[in-house]
Amino acid sequence: MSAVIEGAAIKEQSRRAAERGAGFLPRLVRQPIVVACSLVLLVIVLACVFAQWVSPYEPLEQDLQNTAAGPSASHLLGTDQLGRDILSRMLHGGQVTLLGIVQAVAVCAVIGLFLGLTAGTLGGWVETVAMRLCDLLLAVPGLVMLLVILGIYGNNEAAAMITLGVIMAPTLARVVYSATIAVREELYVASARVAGLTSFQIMRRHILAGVTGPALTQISIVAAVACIAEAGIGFLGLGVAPPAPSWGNLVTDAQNVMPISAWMLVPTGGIIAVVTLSLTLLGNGIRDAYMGRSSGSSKAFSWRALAVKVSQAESPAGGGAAPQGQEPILSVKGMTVGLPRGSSEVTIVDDVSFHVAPGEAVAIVGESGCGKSVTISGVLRVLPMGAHVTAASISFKGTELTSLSEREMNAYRGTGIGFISQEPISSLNPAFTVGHQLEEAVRLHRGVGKGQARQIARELMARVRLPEPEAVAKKYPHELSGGMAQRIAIARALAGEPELLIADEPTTALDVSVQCEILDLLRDLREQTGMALILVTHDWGVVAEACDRALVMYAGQVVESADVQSIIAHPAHPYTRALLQSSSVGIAPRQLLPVIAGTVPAPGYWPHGCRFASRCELAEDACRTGPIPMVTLEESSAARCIRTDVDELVRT
Amino acid sequence: MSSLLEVRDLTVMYRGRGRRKDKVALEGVSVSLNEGETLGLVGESGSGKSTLGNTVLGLVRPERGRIGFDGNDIAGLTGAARRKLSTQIQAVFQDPYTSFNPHRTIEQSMGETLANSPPMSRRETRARVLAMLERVGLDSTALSKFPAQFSGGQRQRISIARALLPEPRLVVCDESVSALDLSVQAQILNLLLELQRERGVAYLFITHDLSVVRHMSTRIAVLEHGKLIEQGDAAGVTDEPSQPYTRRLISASLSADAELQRDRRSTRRAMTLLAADATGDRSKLADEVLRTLEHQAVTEVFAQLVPQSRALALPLSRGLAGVADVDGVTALRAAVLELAPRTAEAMTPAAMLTFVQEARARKCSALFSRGQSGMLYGLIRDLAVAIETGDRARALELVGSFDEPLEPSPHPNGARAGEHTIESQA
Ligand SMILES: Nc1ncnc2c1ncn2[C@@H]1O[C@H](COP(=O)(O)OP(=O)(O)OP(=O)(O)O)[C@@H](O)[C@H]1O
Ligand code: SF4
Ligand SMILES: [Mg+2]
Repeated sequence: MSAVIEGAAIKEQSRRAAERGAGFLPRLVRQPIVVACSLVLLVIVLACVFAQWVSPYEPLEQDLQNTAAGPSASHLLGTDQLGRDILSRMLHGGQVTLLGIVQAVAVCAVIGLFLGLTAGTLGGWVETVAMRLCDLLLAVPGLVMLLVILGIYGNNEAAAMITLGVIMAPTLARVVYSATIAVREELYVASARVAGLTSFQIMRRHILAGVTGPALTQISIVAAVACIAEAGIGFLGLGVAPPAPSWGNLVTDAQNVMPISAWMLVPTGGIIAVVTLSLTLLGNGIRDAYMGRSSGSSKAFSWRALAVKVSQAESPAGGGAAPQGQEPILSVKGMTVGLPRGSSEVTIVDDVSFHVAPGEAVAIVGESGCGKSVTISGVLRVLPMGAHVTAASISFKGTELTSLSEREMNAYRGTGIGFISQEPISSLNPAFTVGHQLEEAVRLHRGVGKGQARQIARELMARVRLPEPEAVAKKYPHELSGGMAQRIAIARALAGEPELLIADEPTTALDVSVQCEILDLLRDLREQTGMALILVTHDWGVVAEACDRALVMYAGQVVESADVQSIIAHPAHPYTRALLQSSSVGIAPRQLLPVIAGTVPAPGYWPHGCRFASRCELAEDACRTGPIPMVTLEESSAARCIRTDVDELVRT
Repeated sequence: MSSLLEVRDLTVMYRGRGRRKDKVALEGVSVSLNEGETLGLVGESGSGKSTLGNTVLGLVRPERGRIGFDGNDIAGLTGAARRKLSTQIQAVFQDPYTSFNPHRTIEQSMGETLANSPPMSRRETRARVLAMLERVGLDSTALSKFPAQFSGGQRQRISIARALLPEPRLVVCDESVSALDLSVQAQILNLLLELQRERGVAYLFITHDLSVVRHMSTRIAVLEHGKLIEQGDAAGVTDEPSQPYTRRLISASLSADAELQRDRRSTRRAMTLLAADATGDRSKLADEVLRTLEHQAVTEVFAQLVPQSRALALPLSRGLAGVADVDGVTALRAAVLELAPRTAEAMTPAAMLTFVQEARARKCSALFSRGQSGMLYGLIRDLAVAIETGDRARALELVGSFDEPLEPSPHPNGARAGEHTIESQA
């Protein structure tokens, strides 16, 4: 099972990496470390391969005038106790060592790739047999086996390195296997099968691409281990027999001359260290490139160095309908969120103001890409590093959140404000049972002991109406259905007894009947606890079912805010109206639906005037001349449009 | 018109691995689909919708049964014979983000579907791919781009273009619009409808969204736990479902009508209370259920395209003809729930139905014994008028006032009740 989870994680990350645009190779060569390591390895390999020509002396040639000497003009890296040139011996010895590495890697790669790929692609009994074989090989103590082989075959390097390759193959096989089954489940593989490609074509075009990254990473680790192992064998005198050099033998020699001169240890040990290190770093680089992180680039460093920056803007811009009646539990004034893009920053959410009264349910509606999720992430301050939140004020129960430090903010997340996400399963840790995770959350937010946490966790599970809480508590997230997982996520959000629950598309991934149950549950919980709710959705049915008031967002701005009944019956903004009309309700079956032509302009490409103008039927010149202010229509409703009066007529 | 796809007695099992047990995903399912039409497949998650689609696509091997495509059984086909079908049967999957290999360009991914078409030159392939892309609203710059450079809606357009490229006769759309937001969803649905009109392609349209399936389908099949529960023409299944499961699905689907939602919710609640309460005063709870049901029936009828009060006609005419006995009054009141048969009384679970009927009988006999049955006739006739004239507010007011006179009132024959009595006798 763990292989599956790991595979899924790899798949997810690789997908995200690919989303970011550039391919694997460009991302790889963009890392200075990768380039440097590759160059170092290349130079070493070439020098060793062409040792006959490049080395200044023969490996066994003695200069008896200069024994155990340090570096000099005639012997760049000095000589050993017999006066042999160390550089020349290293270059010739490298041939033995590198050949050993190649043997081990080749054997390991052939076995590992074969087992992993066949098990992963063919499935069935092949999968079972291959994986059992891996388990078996893993259970064999590697060092003992190596020594036994060396015992049987004498000083046979090749036998030792091949054995090493076999010993390391199962790990590679597992990596390849999990990457393969992750890709195998991808829809694009199903598409390829539907397209009529043969299994071989599918393997070549789709599966290998997904497997290359993880496999190369593992192989570079194998090479590094083989390098150390070869040196170890040589050092113990079990490898090639002296006086023929190998890197391991050279270290032995260095140790022998230690009493006279310690210098020899530097180049001989150094070369092993350099090669091993380079291989490991190269492996890391490949992994990063595959997963989409380019840790070497300067951008990545700044990405890490910057946390979310929060600043308080000068004065409230006066936007946003003023809350009337009760003191709002959450009040956001003039919040702008910028995310880093390249070296500059791009505004994602632009001057958003809203408030939530205690016990009130507010919907945030809009097409995808309008900034709904970033708005709530801005409030919760759970943004990618380098994000920048500016606001005149974000106050929760009278506390100004913008002036809180990251640590103080943490105390509010989960306790004062609960959060549930769209994908309940991925918000849970696959490695722990859901009961455990729930108890953790209870202990964290309520500061109670283990026993009590357990009891509270069970109570919470009962409150979210999970059948058989005891049995469910013992399950792992992937064993739950979507509805159950969402209930667990809600239970976890309730652990801190929040007064405000923020739910990002809590039911989009669920089917209708489960969606209905979850919305009923949210409503009941609100009635029991008086909790307020912010619900992000693009489904007007959910809005009508679960919320009191709605904010419509378009291209980073709030464009309309009104209570749900009236916004659905009398939308004031052309965008709201168009959104409402694109549902199939009231349209004769199999007739074309009214659609909003075009798409939401992407952040950074927002026009200066009304952002909806390019898609708006009522657009006129005045709409395009400058930013459109929010116009208050009735006491509690407002729209960002200059033609709301006309709209009334057009609507009918 | 002959059936393009004829699935007979299909049974599919997923073999358990290790400790997991075998799982029957489909059991004896038979559905059929005509050329150029759309068969909607609905059901809850895990009901086997995707399994059926995947079996038709040859991605899953059936245990038993026949899949007739154009008269030939394709259920057991493998290898080259199956691959040849790829020009005839295609698919558009749910997730636009994972249905393309992120490492391959759009041209490469799209060209894939032509693998089994008659060989053609590179130029020809490119021209066909481009023509198809243009048909779905993209241009030649898309060819060399990677999937990551497109939005979800654009990717779904490309998926559709890819599926239609070899000019298939059947396309399996598995939740093809579920991952898209409403406005993009509408664009994609329109595209699918247009392409169907142009090319006469048939769709096996899988979704859990009832409003979408209703909009797209000519026929609908409902699956529950791997079994086919109901199949028929689209309007019939959605407007007058015969199975409780289908009704449950329909009532669970949300509408943007806030009042309707509220009524459905209070009905659900009242029913839950009644079901949970084994000891308390059931008659009071049953009254509540009846009240919410009647209110819901009226909001439901107004949520329909053309609200109609047909169900009231017969019992009303009998009452006006002077046959006003307790049974007549009860039947009249029962007719209110028939206004929207797909969600009102027919929705009520059998166990609860008796309570509702008892509550109604009790109330009607009370009305009758007080000589107020004429008033009820008047109210319900006004209700019929309000529905026909589209006066929703009035209708709701009327349906809420049926039992008002039952409350202890100083003027049992108050002005309003009296007025109706006179009207109904006139
Ligand atoms: N590869 C598999 N191995 C074992 N069981 C499976 C497999 N695929 C599906 N199932 C099971 O078969 C049943 C039907 O699955 P299927 O995916 O066809 O349902 P669905 O109606 O499409 O659901 P959803 O709406 O979630 O996509 C489910 O209970 C599911 O758990
Ligand atoms: S301001 Fe003009 S362009 Fe913008 S929504 Fe209103 S009418 Fe349309
Ligand atoms: Mg499915």
